Amino acid sequence: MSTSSGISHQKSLLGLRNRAIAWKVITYFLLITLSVSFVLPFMWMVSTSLKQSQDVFTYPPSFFPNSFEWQNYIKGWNVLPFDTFLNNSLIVTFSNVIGNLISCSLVAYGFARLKGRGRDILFLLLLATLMIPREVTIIPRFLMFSWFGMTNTLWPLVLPAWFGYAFFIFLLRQFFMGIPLDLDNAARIDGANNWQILTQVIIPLSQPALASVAIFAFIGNWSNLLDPLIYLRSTELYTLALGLNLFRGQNFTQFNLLMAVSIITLIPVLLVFFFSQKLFVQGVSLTGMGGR
Amino acid sequence: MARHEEELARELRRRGYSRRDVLRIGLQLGLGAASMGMLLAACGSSEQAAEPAAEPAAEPATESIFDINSGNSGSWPKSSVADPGSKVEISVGHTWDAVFFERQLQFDKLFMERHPNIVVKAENTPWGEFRQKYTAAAAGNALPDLLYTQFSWAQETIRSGMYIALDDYIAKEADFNFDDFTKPSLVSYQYDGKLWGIPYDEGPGNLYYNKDIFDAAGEAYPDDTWDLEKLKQVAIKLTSGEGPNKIFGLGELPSPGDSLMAPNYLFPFGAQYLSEPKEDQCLINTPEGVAAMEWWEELRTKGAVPSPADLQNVAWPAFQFGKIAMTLQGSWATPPIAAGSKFNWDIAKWPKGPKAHTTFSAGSAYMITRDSKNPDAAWIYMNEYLSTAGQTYMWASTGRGSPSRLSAWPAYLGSEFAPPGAKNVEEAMSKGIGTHDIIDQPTGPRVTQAAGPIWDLVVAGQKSVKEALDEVFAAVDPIVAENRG
Amino acid sequence: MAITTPTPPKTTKAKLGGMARKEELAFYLFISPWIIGFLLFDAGAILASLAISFTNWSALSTPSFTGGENYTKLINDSLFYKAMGNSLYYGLGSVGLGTIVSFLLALLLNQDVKGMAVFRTIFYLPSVVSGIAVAILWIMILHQDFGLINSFLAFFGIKGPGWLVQPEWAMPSLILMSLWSAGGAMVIYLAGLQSVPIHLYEAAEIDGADTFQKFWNVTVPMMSPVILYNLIVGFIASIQGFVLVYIMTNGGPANATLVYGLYIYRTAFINFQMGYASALAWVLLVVIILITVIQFAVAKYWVYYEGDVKQ
Repeated sequence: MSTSSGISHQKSLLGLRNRAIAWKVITYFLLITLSVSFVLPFMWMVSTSLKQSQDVFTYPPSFFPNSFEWQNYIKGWNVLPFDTFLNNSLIVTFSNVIGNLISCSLVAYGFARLKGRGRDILFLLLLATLMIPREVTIIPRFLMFSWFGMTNTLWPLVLPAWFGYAFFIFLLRQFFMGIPLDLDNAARIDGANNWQILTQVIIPLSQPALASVAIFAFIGNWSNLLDPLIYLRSTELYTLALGLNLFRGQNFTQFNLLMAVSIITLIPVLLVFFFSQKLFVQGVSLTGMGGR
Repeated sequence: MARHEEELARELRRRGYSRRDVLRIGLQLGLGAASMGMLLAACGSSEQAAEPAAEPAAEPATESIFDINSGNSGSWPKSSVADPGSKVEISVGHTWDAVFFERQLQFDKLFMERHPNIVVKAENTPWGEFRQKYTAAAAGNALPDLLYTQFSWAQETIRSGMYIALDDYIAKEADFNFDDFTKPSLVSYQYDGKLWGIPYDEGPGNLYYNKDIFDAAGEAYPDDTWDLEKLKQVAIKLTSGEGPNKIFGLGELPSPGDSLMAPNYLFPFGAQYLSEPKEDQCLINTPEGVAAMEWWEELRTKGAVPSPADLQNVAWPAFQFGKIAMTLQGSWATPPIAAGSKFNWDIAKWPKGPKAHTTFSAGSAYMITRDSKNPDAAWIYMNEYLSTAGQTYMWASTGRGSPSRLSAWPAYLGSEFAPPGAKNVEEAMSKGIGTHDIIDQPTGPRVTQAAGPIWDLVVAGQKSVKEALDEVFAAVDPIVAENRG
Repeated sequence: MAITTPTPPKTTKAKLGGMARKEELAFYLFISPWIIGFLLFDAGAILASLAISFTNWSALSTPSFTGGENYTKLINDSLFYKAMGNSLYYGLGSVGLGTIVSFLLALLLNQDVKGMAVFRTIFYLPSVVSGIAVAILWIMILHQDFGLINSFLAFFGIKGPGWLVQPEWAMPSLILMSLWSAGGAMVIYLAGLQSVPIHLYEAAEIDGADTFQKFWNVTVPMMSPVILYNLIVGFIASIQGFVLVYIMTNGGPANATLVYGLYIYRTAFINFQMGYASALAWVLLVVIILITVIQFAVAKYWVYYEGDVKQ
């Protein structure tokens, strides 16, 4: 009796282990096949950046350049003042990331944790600002910034972020609302005010959400084309995104140079994403599926 | 520990933070607002408030495919308008690709050496975003002194009062040589008896052909004896192969969604798209029009033409691929074809039809805007920029092609960048083959936007030519009725 | 552990008690950055665009008041219905499929597997890679004559459809393409997954739940606020989006991919009809508000907030 249950116990243990291994294999298989498809455009960019002009479009499309034109990178970078563009992009992007993190956390806390008359209407108004296509508000906004005397400066690109952005406010509000009120209550009983609750309770528990906001703010501003296009006139103020588009001429696009410089500008984005993973991973898998 | 921290620690453990994490956060709690420091540390360097950058004039890059002194004939016109007594700044709105912008900066540098009191700020905007940017600028009365304008939106913008008329300035110049401009080049920039802009280029549509494909099939290259019937025959003959190895005889077929199509595909058969120049009648569904379009469609039924995806997007230059024997392109296509093709190619004239020998010609111009605070300085710049010397420097010697002044053509033909058949391009302009009877009225975009989708169904094989053309008439007629005023 | 919601103090409708008033003050204080920004940067532009919709402004010269003409024109404009239909098709298709795909991807990437950081970065790549590179690549892949997919199908003797050039296939091709930029939503789901407390899984396991039951009864409800976010924001973004469409098909063939955002762009900047474009934009706004309100109303039945503060 005991032996058979012992054997069945062993069998089920083995079964569990086999299931875990099978699961890992499936996971790796999916990861690798999907990775191949996701990495495709990047591979195309890399190979195009190393080609000569006449090799860019060939049939059959070849992912391997005939010759490795590394000087495309140098040439592309120097044909326009990309150093300056990079500098401008850094200023604008960092300012936006910090500005957004601060302002959106404050506002999201208000919507998530505090009550007031008109809260729901204001929230809908907040979302409504996302629902009007930018094409029709860009000219009135331009007129307004003109009136402030801020056109052809970086101010229109930098200021709005310090006043919040609906996408991020909404996101943080959803996350904040997932944190139990017990913590707030406990803190309040100890005499904490709203600011302390926000900074000592809510924010430490919202690292992944804040990291998401930081990443999106970074990437959104790094590649934003419309605002620099409309507000900036001097080439010395241009950002990377605008500078890159100058490779696309009316009748002629230099794809190899465009791709080379695009890759250079892509690297910081990927690095930011890669290193911010720490803020996502708490060290443990939380889906309860597969191994721990 | 205070109660709320206890709760927090419990919550953190609940969430699977390790003890080390809990301790770490606890330490931070002791510091109060250190959570902000954590975030800032993750983000990296401290930010500085944005400041408007200082604005030196842009310097041309040191390594360029163009030598700053090549193409400089040195004989720059001297305007009768006096140079400003003190330094003024003029801004010019361009839309050059990055490589050609270097040439622009070279021109500006030499100009500023000749005119020390005029500082030129060149603004370069990507082509795809040009209209958006300058529409906003126009709304805000913040236009630059000089602005690039393409024929397709020239009339609309002229009528809105964005520019100043140039006749007075031209009259002041004894050596302006107005007749030097090819007739078609000025058409889109005239309105109300005045001239509102000066074109810098005007190029005809030409037949680019792939010599290797011709050689492989043993066919003779296109020449002046060709007519459209011969074009059709050869296109069908050169079409061969299947699937990925297919070679197409001709790159494109006419569509009413194309504002340039009438001179090449309809006029030779005595048909028309819109009545020119007023563009107030749609004439495409007349018997001649239907007959002409059906004549061309035979190439599609014989499979001699590739799918329409190629026509739509700049991203996909089908001819450079080497899979198309002949293609109709404006002369501005020469630089990309030269850069992108790995085969031997050349240019021929668009062949004649039974009723006429015509091809489209189109181009772009520069205008002085109403917002300019220094129109005199702007005129001095424009006078030199679009003079024979200026056109030679910018577009002829660099092989960009088709300058609007006949006197600049020899430089183009002699430049190292010009293809062997460039003489055909010049003759198309000088012999009156190139015509500017293309769609350029303000109603133009709406006409082509209405007509194009209807024709897409013909291309997809879901509609007959006659049916589609009648529908095009029904859609376009109300739009062009506006021009009957 | 029971979760107690603090009960609001008894108040009359018109007057708030001292505590509640203090809280209301705090509320307005915390959201003041947004209110100020809204008044400074957004309100003026939004109201201006409404005013412009009642004119025939071309943006190039002075406007003249035309009353509701733009709106009557809109009602009779077949392209308006086409563009709205296309955008709804695209919005619902890409958000619907996209939500499922990004959620599954996030689950996949949440495993404790070696090199996961690298995989996550790769999966996120399509969202950050230059739009034109994506467009070109997909044009190449979907090309009727030269494309990879059709060449692959030709191998088996199947004649592939004209993906981007046939009216019936154009929109599905674009939706398929949008799935592939699922990286953005995936990141948010990843963040959400990290916030699901482990003890809930433990409790479920003790109750004998299997993997699927844990997923359905723990993961999904705890993620529901984030799912709602992606549905709402995803829909708003995709119904307005048009840049990739512009590059790839320019609204064709036969207007099959003429999405609303493209129609507005064309009307405003190619046809120089800013007045009409503003009217189009405002109609879109109303439609989006309606759909969002519906989404929120339905959300009451399936979204679960652990820390909900009822009004």
